Amino acid sequence: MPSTIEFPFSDYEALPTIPITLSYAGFSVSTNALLDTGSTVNLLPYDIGLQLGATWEEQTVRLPLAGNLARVEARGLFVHVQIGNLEPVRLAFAWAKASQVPLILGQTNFFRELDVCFQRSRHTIEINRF
Amino acid sequence: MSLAELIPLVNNLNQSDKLSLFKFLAAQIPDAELQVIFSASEYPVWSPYDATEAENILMQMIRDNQEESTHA
Repeated sequence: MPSTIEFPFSDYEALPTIPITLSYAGFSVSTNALLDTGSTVNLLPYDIGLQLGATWEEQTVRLPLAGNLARVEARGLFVHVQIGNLEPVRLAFAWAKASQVPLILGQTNFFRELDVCFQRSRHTIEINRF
Repeated sequence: MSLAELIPLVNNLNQSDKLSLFKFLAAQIPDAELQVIFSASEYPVWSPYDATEAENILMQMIRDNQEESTHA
């Protein structure tokens, strides 16, 4: 199984996003995720958690978010994430009780599990599973 | 060419060309004037960039899970 994958990152894309597939409890959801080095946590929108079959009331780890997400309730949820043909990685998400938020891959623990190289000049985002 | 003549042409551009045009125009305007234009609105920033308490709790959740996996 390869350890590195590249995604296009054109001049016209303001923000770096990649396609991912989330898996939890036998359900899978394919979506785009924002690579956000400035986010302390991974963030999962409420509706995607529900599509994955997660039950809000069963998640007991409560997470206080910050900024304009401070009023949004969030709970910890482990989800398997497939990026291209890399080996799937198990990520801990702050599952927010709001659906208008983006799916964010942040420092804990996406950037703790994978190296990411943003290369505007080469129009690529390189992701390395170490 | 007047602005009235230009606007329909701009409307016909695709999204990428509109973004390129926007960047070009922004580069022509002094920073102070740009700040006045954009300070009139509020923009949501969803990135939880300073949610350190949430980060600490998630890290503890990961450690607890790793210990459970080790002892299982």
